[in-house]
Amino acid sequence: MSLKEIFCQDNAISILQRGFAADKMPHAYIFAGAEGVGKFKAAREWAKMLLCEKPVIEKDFADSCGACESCRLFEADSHPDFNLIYKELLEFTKDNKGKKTPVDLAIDVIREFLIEKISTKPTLSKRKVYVISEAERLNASSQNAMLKALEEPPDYCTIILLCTRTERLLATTKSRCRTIRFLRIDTEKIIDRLKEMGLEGKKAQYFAQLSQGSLGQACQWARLELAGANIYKTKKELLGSLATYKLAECLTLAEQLLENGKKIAAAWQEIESATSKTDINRKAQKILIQIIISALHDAMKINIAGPQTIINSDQQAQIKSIAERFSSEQSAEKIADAYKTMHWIESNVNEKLIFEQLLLNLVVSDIIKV
Amino acid sequence: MAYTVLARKYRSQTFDDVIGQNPISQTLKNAIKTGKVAHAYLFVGTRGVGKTTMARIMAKSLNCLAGDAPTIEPCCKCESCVAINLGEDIDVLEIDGASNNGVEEVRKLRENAIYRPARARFKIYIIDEVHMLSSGAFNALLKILEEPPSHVKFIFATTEPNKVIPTIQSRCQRFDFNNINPNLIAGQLKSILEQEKIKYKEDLVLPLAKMANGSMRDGLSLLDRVISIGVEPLTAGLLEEFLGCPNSEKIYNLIAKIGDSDAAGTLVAADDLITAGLGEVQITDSLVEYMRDLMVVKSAGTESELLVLTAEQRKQAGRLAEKFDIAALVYNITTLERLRWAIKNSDTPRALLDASLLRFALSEHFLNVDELLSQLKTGTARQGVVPIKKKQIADHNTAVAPVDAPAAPVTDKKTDLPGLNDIQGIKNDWQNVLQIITAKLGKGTAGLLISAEPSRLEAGLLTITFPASAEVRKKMCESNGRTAQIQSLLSEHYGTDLRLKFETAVNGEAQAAPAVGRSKTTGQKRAELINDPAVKTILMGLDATVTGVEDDQ
Repeated sequence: MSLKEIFCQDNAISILQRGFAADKMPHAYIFAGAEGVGKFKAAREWAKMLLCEKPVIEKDFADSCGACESCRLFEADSHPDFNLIYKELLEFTKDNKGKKTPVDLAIDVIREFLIEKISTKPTLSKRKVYVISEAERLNASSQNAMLKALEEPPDYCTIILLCTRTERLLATTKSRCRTIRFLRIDTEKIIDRLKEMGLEGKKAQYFAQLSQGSLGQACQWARLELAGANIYKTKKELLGSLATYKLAECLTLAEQLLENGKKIAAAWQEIESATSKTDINRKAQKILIQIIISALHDAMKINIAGPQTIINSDQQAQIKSIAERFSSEQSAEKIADAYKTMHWIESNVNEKLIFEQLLLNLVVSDIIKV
Repeated sequence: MAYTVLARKYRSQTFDDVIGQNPISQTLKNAIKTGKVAHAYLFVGTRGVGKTTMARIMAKSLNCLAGDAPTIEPCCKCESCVAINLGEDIDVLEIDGASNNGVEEVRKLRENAIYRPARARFKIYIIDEVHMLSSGAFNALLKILEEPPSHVKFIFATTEPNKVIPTIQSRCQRFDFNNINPNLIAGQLKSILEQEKIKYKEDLVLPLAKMANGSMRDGLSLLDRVISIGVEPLTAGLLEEFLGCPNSEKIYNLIAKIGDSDAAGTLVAADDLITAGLGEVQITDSLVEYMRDLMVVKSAGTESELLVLTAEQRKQAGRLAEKFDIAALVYNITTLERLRWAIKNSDTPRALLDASLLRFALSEHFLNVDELLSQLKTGTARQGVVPIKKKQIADHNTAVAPVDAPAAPVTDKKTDLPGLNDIQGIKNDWQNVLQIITAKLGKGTAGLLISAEPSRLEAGLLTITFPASAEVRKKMCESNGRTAQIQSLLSEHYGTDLRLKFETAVNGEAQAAPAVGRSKTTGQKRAELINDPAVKTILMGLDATVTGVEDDQ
């Protein structure tokens, strides 16, 4: 892997390169962009280049040589001057031994792995690189603790924050870093990639469109699908019943959704045993709600913008019947409601109630009609 | 790393260098000159407005070794000044409040504070991000902060003064740093670009300064990013291309589509912005910002000083503003603000954004009362149009009347009250009535009735019909107690108790249709229903009228 192989992020890479060429590199970056668009890969490769003993420079494009001691160590994930900071490191801090499922990037992690270590000189290369992944999880105290280090780190340090939601970072953090924006990836390219992974054309297209340009997320879903989570089938059934279901069927449908959510979660658990169970459960439920939202989104658009723009292009008939049920404006309202339910998942509301509420809410306009 | 970011490189070195904080610089200078330096200061302000900078300058001024006493012009050459600039002086302790926030650290500080400074006059503690101290730490500070040894000075800097407990605040001299005016930031950016010998175009500086949002450091780090692109001369185009700041053309386009109520166009324009790499939050933010500009244009005109825009943008904003009215803009801005929170908290906010934009585009435009009235006035001016409308309504009436006639006996009591002219009389008298209304209730109310016609008179209930296009005027007549006013005026005019009812022509037609088939039984049913206590309560409570009775079969 080298910088050149980073997928579809030419703009971001070229900004980095220009800074390097002009010898005007800041000491702190924020790599901002949706989940799974290649931020981490880019950060890793950029770090590799910075640490490399003899970077190869061709036409103003600097890249790691891949042969020196530094590069080899880097490839083996054991470079002493490359530090990845992530929330699960909490397990290894002094005071929190054994705490395995952190939600936030805790201040202890930042203190022990960034602030205390930053003043030690690099051991092998000329620089040290710190990459903080999931920087949006940094809570206020962690960010405040970092401020000093971010503003004036030692000369040899580069800090890279990877962040999907820059708005969650404090203004004080943001103003100390240079933000590099990572764009969403073209749907066609995602489809190609998914097909390479062995997904059928229709499924690939659906996941690519549902992911809204996040390659990582699409790949994640594709892996789940290949592992037998049956997301696509669930989606087909779900849309079918969304178009027709009546008030009385609401509760059974909610039950079904919950079951499906559990199935997806089970498949997920098999792929990623490290992540905590509740986290996976929530993610699985969110997928289901996303599917519902995408259907409503389509129903809203189909009458206005025409059928070529919709996500569920394979089930146009169902979308149309949903669109008959709700006017564009109503769908818009329902989407807003569905997002609220999405939020409840994060705040520990009873799962069954969430789905029941969502479905009842979707059917409720019928009650008024009767 | 050899390169130092601009914000560090151009950190102000003397009081006069600090931009946009003149009152504070002046006060501090005077304090030093007159020897009345307090033992504790609290600097408050948003990010990047010069708090830390001011604290360092203050420390240098107090401890500069070039003279015998504190000076307002630190030399920046002596050992002490140089060390302070680097943040490594032994007498000036710059403490990061966020990472040394415990009681333990404060206790250590207290223990050390009693020792005299090593080489300079004062031992100065600069505690940055002081709001992060724990409440224990704050309280541990109280005693030493109240009466420190004479050689100790404290300078606290914070962005969140609300988190600093009042007992601390009352022991400090508090200075609130202003956000820096975009024009001042622009000036500083220009001078730095010149010092760095970088070529640039004028159109770059103002948008950049505006994006800095009142913070010099933000402005400089943005500038840093633009410079690091490595292209010269720097232009505004680069901002859009590389900083991912929204292309103003595209945002304008989106707003124009919303203004035109073009739903499909709105979605396309939004899609355009998203494929250009903008986040949903950014889009809402810039929409809020632009709509705010439009709001200012609407209320204060395009030349207002409240707008930080170039001449070209002002013109564009002026054109766009015509598509909106203030009420709609205010509504949109509040909705967007609420939307922001929801978007922030969801993973795939695309659908939500689309949904809200669509609602803006589809929502009916608000009508300002003044504008409505002025429209009405122009309506009266165009006399040629009005009579035609009247004629149409008259036609409606003749069509409606015979249909209603057979139904009338069923709904009973179509006996004209004695002394009251019949409907034709009222019609003939209508212009007269309007004049009376104009005289008594003012032009506004009369203007609302200009296109209306009295159409029926049943049991003292006078129905006034509006043309279908004047639905709004009808509603306005019904609101604000106008009905009662007009009613009493008419009653007075005709010398009998009259009740008023307004309807629009379309309703009249719709009503007429079922009326044809209306049988005796439905008529009776209607009377029964109207006499039903529940219905009566509704009619009374809501001041409503029964417009029709429909069979539920």
